[in-house]
Formats: sequence, C-alpha cells, structure tokens
Amino acid sequence: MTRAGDTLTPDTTLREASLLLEAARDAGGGCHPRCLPVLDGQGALVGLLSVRDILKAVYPFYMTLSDVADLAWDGMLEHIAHKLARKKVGEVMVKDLLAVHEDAPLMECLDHMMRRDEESLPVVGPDGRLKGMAHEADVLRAITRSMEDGATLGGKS
Amino acid sequence: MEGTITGAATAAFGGWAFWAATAVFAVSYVLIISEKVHKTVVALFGASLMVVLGILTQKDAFHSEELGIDWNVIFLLISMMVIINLMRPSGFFEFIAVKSAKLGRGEPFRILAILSVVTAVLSAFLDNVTTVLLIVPVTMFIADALEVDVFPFLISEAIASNIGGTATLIGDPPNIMIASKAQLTFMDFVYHLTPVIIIIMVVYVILLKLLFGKKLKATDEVRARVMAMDEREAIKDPVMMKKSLFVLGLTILGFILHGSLGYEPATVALFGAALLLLITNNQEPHKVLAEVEWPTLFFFIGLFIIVGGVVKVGLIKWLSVQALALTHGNMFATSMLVMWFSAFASAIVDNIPYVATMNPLIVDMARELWPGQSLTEVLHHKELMPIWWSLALGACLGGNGTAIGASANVIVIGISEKAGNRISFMKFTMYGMPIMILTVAVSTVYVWLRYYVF
Repeated sequence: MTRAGDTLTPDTTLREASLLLEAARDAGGGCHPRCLPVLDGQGALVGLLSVRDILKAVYPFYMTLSDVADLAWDGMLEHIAHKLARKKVGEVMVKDLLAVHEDAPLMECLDHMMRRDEESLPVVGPDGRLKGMAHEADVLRAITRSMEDGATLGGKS
Repeated sequence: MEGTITGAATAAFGGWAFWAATAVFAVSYVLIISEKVHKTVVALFGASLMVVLGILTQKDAFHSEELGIDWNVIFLLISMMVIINLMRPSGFFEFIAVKSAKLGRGEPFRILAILSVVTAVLSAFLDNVTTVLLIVPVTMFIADALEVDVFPFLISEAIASNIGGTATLIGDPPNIMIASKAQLTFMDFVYHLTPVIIIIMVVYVILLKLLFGKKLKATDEVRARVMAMDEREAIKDPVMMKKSLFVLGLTILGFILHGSLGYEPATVALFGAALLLLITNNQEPHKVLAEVEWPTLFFFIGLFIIVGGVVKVGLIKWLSVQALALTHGNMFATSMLVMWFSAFASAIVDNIPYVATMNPLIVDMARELWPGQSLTEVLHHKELMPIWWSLALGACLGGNGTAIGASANVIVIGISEKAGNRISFMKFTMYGMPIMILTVAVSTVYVWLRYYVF
C-alpha cells in the first residue's frame, strides 16, 4: 500500500485535479498513481478520479455513436478541455467503489484489480476511512520479493 | 357480418368471450401505457392469452388476414431495418450531414434548416429512430465546431423526423399499418399526404427561423472550421455505400411501382434486403439480423393478435357504432374527430397500439355505412379515404406533442442527456405541443379544402 498523498474533494475543479494527477505521477516516477481518491468534507471516501476519467470527460459522447474522427478540426480537444476546466470532480469521478480492507490478503487485492481492470484500489481501515492506495506497482513489489526469496510472504503489504 | 347493429352487439355482449377479450385488451393497454412492464412482454402475454382462452384460434392468430398478425407490416419493417443496418457503417449519413453543413456555408441557422429538411426527407424513406440516430451525433459534432447551443438543432431534427415520416407509406409505422389494412399503395400516400407534408415543412422552417434565427450566431473563425471539413473523409466504405444506395434506390423505385406491378410493399422491401445481402456477399447474416429491432417487431406481433381478439368478439364493431353515433354519420365531422383525437392520443400514448385499434374500428365503421359492398369497395370508398388520411396525419404528427409522443423524441432526448445536455419533458413539450397543433391545423385546412370543398 502507498500512503495517501494528495486527495481530491467532489468540489475540486477538473483543472486542479488534472494538475494534481500530473504532479502525483511525476512524483511517482511516471508510473503511478494514475488515480486519486476523492474525500468528502468529513474525510469519508466517496470516489476515485483517474486519468482515464478525465480523458473520458473530454471525449464527446457523440463520437461513440458516429465515426467523425477524420473530420475533427485542429484544436478541437483543446477547445473542449478549456470548456471543462471548471467542471467538478464529483461529476466525473467513479462512485461505484471497490475498496480493500487493510488486513485483506494481497490476492483479494489482485482479484479486484483483475476483475474490474483497475490499476489502483483504495485501502480502508476498520472504520471505513481511507488509509492509502494499493497500486499495481505495490502488488508487483510483493511479487518480486517473493520470487527473490522463494519464500511465502504474509498477507500484508 | 352484415347483421343489424343492435343484433351484432347484443350477440357479442351476451358472450363470456366478449368480456374476457375486452379485459385482456384493456389490461394490456393499461400496462403498456403505465410502462410498469416492458411493452413487448405485455403484448406477447396478452396475445397468448387471447389464444389460450380460446377467443382466437391459433389459425386466427397466425394465419388470418382479418384477425391475426399482419405479416405485410412485419416483413416490410424487417427488410428496411436490414437494408439500413447494412448501409449504416458505410459513412453515407455522416457524408450527407457534413455536406449539408457546408451547403449552409457554416451559417448556424442555415445549417439547422438544411439539416431539418434532410432529416425530414430521410425519415420519409427510413424509420424515424434510425434517421435521428444517424443525423443527431454528426449534428452535435457540427454544433460543437460552430460553438453554438445544440438544443435548437436537436429539437428541430426530432420534430422534422416525425413530420417527414408522415409523407410516405414507409415513413412511419402508422402509415405502414394503415396502408396494409386499407390496401393503399405507395403512390396513394405520395398523392394524398406528401403535398401537405411539403406545405407543413415550409411553414415549419419559417417557424424555426422565428424561434431560433436570431439566437444562433457564429464567428468567421468557427465557420471556417466547418468549411474546412472534407465530407469525403466521412465515407468509410465507398463500395458498400454505392451498393446500398443502388439497392435503396431500386427498392424505392419498387415501392413507386408496386401498385401497378401488383406486389405488396413487403415483397419489394424483402427483395431489396435479400439482394443487398447477396451482392455484398454477406458471410455473417446473423450479425445483421441480430441488429434488427426484434422487441419492436414482437410488440407489433402481440398487438395484432390482441386487437384481433377484440375484433372477433365484436368490441371494435360496438365502438365504431358509438363513434358514428357521435358524429351522426357526418363524414367531415368524423374525419376531423379522427385527426384531432389521434393527434392528442398519439402525443400521450404510443401511436402503434393506437393505430392497431383504430384500423379495424374504421373498417367496421365503413361496413356499417356501406353494407353489401365488397371489402375493397368499402375500404376505398370515396367518403372513407379522407378518414384514412386524417388518421395518418393525426397519429404521425401527434407524436410531436410531447417528449414521449414519438420514439424519435425519446432517442434524441436520450442522446442529448448522455452528452451532458438534459432536455426536460417540459422543455420539449413547450416547443412540441404548439408545433403539433400548428401542423395538425394546417392538415385540417388541407383535408377540408381537398376533400370537402373541391
């Protein structure tokens, strides 16, 4: 697990959120995290916002219905992104969360990642509060260690 | 069949079958309107009850022209869906939409007007839902490029599609059903309905100009974006496009000639669909056939059987007598009643079950009025023809009345909501209802002048 660094609120604008995502990514050496947890005013976990969620928000729904990509004009993406700068995280975040308990075995964590095709999962304590994030890289670290030791490791990361 | 009115009604009222059929019919229609259960499920269950309870024999339900499934309607719909499903990925419709935007020289209102007319024309030949599904996404793209509010475009196209669909036999399901029941040809519709739809479209475009003309403005810079688009880039499969346009053209020619050639419209459409599958050497027919709107088709199948049940027990005949008593047999009054009642009924409920019920009602009414004549003579009686046209105009144009009046409206509102622009029921209805009343008023004047004055 990686300790919770930056978090967002549902009222954070997409502009701030994408800046934070970029900063978090740079801090993580470019490989993680690709998403940030969203907490409400009381600090309860209410959602996740990933790089993909921002890309999805910029991708117009009509382009899924009609193949007009070849007709797109220069600056179309920039134009839509500009319009979305003040949209709130709450409108685009993923609310249907699957969190892992901090005591859960690593395989449960991997299972959720595989089934839901997620790169990161929120990790919560007994009170349901966010403890941190489990990223693919965290699971990989455990896998690498096990391979080196040839020994069985405990469930905690 | 030619018995006296009271005789027929009394005989029917006496029977257990009469009340059973009426109950199945009434409960089915209430459930369909309430939307608590999916309409296709209701229709199929009601239909099976009609047979299980012995009101209809299976032979009546499956093979009787008067009481059972109208296969002419079913195969016409299936075939047109197959042709369009094959044509769709070619990019032809995107090509037409972008071409229209460039014809409008990037002026938003001009584009709105051209796209509305294009939607109306396409709807006259394709089903309305398909047309808006093809045109609306490209419209949203163009509105984005022009940096204008997309709502005026969307509502204009939804309404244009319902107007355009009224123009021909194949434009809208009510017309297909009326044509089959009344044995009318494609050219009958062109001769009687297309003129009034052209007049309505002119009035409609003028109205759009008043409603939206001043609101839509675009700078030279954004207009240049649209003018720089190359519509040929939209064509993904030129060979497929040419083949499907050839077959669609041939099919429409077939419709124009079907009366004189002695083919039913369904025969023409089925030939077109099969020909297109053949010349494109389609190796995966299951894919194209799976995309056919089966729930809608089974909805039709169920309704035909349910209505067949209440026709057989005499409920529809009894209703037709009541309707005639209401207008004292005055045919002008009857046609006006049919048109306006159909418009408001279709604005609130699905026009398909409505027309499925009205068709046999009008046939029974005509039999009461002109007993002793052959069925074709009765159906094509000079005084009955305006009633058919009034039913078509009312049932099709009525769809514009509310957000749920027509499937095209529901689809446009759905796409718009997913794209982040919610159109509320009231917002649609505030535009739709006055436009419906205006278009039905134009139709009233047309029917009055054409069939009762001259």
